[in-house]
Amino acid sequence: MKKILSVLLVALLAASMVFAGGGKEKEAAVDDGKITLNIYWWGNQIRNDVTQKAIDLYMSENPDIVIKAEFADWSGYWDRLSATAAGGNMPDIVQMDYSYLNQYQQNGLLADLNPFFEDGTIDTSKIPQSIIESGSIDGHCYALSLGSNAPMMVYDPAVLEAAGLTMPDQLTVEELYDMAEVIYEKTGVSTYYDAGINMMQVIARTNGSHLFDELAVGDETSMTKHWNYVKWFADAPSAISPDLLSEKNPDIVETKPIADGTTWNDFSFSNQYIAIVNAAGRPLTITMYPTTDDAVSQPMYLKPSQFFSIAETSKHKAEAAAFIDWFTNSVEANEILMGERGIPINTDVATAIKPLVDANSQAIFDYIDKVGTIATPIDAPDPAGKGEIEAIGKTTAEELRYGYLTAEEATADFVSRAESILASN
Amino acid sequence: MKHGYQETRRIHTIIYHVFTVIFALVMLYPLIWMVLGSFKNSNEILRNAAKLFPDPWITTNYSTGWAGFAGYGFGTFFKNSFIIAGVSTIGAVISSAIVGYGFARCHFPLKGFWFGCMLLAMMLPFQMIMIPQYILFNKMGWVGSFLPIILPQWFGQGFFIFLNVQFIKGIPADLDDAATIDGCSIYGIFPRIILPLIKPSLVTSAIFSFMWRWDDFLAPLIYLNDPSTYPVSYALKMFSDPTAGSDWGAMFAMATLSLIPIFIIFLAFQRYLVEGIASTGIKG
Amino acid sequence: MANKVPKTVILRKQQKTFAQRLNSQGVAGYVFTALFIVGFLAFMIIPMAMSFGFAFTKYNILSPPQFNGLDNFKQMFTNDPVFWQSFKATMYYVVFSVPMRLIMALLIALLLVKKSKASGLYRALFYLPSIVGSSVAIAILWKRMFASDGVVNSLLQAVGIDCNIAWLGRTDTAIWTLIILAVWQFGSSMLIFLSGLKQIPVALYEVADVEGAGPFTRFFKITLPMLTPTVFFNLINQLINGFMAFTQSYIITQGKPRNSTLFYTVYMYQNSFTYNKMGYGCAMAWFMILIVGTLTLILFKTQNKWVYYES
Repeated sequence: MKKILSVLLVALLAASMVFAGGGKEKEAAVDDGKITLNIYWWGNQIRNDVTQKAIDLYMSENPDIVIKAEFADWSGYWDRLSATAAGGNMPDIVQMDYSYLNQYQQNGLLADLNPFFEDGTIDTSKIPQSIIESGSIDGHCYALSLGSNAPMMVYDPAVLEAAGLTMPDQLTVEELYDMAEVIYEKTGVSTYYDAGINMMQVIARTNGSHLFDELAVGDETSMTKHWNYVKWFADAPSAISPDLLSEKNPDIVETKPIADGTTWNDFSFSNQYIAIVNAAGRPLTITMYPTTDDAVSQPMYLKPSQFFSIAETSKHKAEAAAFIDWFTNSVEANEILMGERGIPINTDVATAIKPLVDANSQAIFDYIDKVGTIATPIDAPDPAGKGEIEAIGKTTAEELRYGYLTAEEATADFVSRAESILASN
Repeated sequence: MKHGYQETRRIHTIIYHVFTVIFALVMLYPLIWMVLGSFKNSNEILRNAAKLFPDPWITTNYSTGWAGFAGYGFGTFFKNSFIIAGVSTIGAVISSAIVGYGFARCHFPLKGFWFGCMLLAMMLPFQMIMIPQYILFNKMGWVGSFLPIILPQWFGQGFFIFLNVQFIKGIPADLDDAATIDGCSIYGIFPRIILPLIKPSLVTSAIFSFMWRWDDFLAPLIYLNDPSTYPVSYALKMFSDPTAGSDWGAMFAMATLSLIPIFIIFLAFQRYLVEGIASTGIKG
Repeated sequence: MANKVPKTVILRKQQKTFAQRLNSQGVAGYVFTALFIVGFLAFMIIPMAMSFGFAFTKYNILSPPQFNGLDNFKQMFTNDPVFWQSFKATMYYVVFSVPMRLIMALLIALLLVKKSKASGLYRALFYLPSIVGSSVAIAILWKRMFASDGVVNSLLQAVGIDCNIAWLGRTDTAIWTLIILAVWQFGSSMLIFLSGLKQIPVALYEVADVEGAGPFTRFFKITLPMLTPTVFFNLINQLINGFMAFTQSYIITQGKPRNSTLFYTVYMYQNSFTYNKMGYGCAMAWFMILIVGTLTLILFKTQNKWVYYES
């Protein structure tokens, strides 16, 4: 009995500590006239470290502002953000993704940034108009890009050399197929062809249209082309076997089939280049996504890697905007961040940072420059059903690769399901 | 004859131990692989899967991992985990024992209904009540503290209540009757007769509760906002980012460290498991 | 019987005093279970009722729910092939993993109940796999074990089976890697069996020894019947756990390949949070509760046929 009592006592003490701890924080926010901003992002430890360092610098320069950082992993981030949105206490500044922008904006959760552009709180003079537009809906900007990104194919130059091939500036899908055959004959290394939503968008763009515009009306033009390509590559002897592909899972950077040399190529966005090279442990080269032989339009585009948005419920929107301005436009901030979120959107800042970064990062800077000269405008922010359509696309690709569907069946099935998802959202 | 019997017994004992050890090693292989993985660099973890020993041995995973991120080290995260798991466990074990006794030994109106509610609560995945519960706790002003994570544990947990019910039902009612005749009230029977006899289920509850609270990252994810309050389970997830790359080495190192407290709790408590009715000598 | 005592008390005196009222089983029952009932009403009933309500709405979390009647259920049963794929995967997983895990747990518990100097150590060793729980590290760990160049294939090759299977990449084997994981983590059931075994009075075995019963007779005539409350508990609990299994599928296979390992709860979670269809997710949750609840109810109804309680 005595033991139980002492345990209870300890527990009560601990519980009161918990209570006290919770209470103290609340009070701290009110006193001493300081303004507290909450900022929330997803990322790994490198991002957490550099962002916190930048925030510390900002707080030392602006003693009346306290910025409280909160961070999470990617999937946890969206779970909690939706909970805070439902609870009406979203953090003041939130990191935003292109695929979630529409949903949060449509539900009136994000503040319009245009007034801050107009009154100069956020300086946009050195930011390309296309970048502002990439975070805009109906002429109002709700999210400011934190860095530019572009779709890329990454490949092993050693394999290419061994096969006696050279990489042209921009491949076509047809050339990629021929290349794959030669490489497989000469070196035995397999080829991966992306069947996912990025490739779908690229194929639609070569037709001069946009994936979700086509899917919304059940148009099968681009998808017929896409799924035929997928089937063509899947049936080739050079293709990586579906078993192995599923096991390696190209969705995860470290286990991509290119990492252990099972394939010589892979597809992703340029901000993953460094992670892929690190995982592979050998030099890899960055090149553009393939276009097609009969393309009517250049499919390459620049994409915001992620944004900062201000919550509509924030009580300190102007202060939040001032921080975003500093984060985007100041060289000192970006000397800490070092392009970790993508190539800085302020062109002067990008020029200032470039000599400071390592060779792999410089390759990305060069790549973004190159894409920037030919890029066509990005598709509109993804509609609400994107996540589900993407998942169905992945399963359809598997069904097709394992031989359970023909290209025609895959097209019909995918388009009709995507259409009904878009209609119900 | 006698000599032969002892000989067979000894052989049996040896076979028993050899078999158990070999089997345990097979079971432990993946775990050993993980612990040794924490001494490999990230790329070696992902390649040469069949290789067990690191080459070369490195310890930097532990130093970089322990440093944590954004100035919050794993020392802080471990402290938070101990508070959350410790305080939750004490509450869950005590409250579940009391409630379990009520369900096992008393007949009261609507008992079946409340027991059904308890089972229902066990069947509903937390993710599905996460949003409404967040709104509720947010209205109470508890979000940002440990309260929404710890406090519900103090009101009995279905799994442990049910476990205690099953154990108490296994205790002969004669014991209660004898105590009643000796003048012990229904409130006296619980601490004097029942509680000492359900030690195994209390200990089991304690081990499980500590482990589950230690491992749970969803409730902390939703309810905590200040990184200085994050527990280990949640911090571990931040080593991996599907878009920007993961530090598997550091994650393995910290995951290995995070197993140690659970293992110590287990070692400390498991010896009480053997003290059931059988060894205390009370016969039914 | 436990409830005959208060009756005799009532017979003795006509008027009930406060103390007697407090001592009546009806009141005492509520006193003991008050904590649970208060906690349930305070923290659970509102969220549960809300999630039940959401099942009949279109709700994307970010804006208020809109009532849409039985649309979610109609969609689920008639127009969502993935729903049925996830249902099938979960059923398959439950049917195989639950009995296998319980048998494994019981066998090891019987092995470890034997008293020896090393028994504490053995218990710890066999419990170790379970403490890894659902840590993120398990995802990479398990994937590497069953990789085509992983240790499982090497082991099979070492014993002469020429085996180069991508276990996680085949529709017929991927789910088995998750079932094996469940069986590997048998520790929690084992602990409960162990404490159940320890509760069996030694006297029963002494009697059996006197009567000269063999080990099998001892097991089937004493151990198993006396253990039925524990078996019952483990069965119900593992059944619920099996249906609620989430992390394995979510972090190890992500449903691959071809949704063959897409667990029901994972699809439910994806709908609720990734696809922002919380209403649909809640409809799925309550359909699962209906199924698990029915199975549990059946088990409870049959328990007086096979579960043996002392009291």
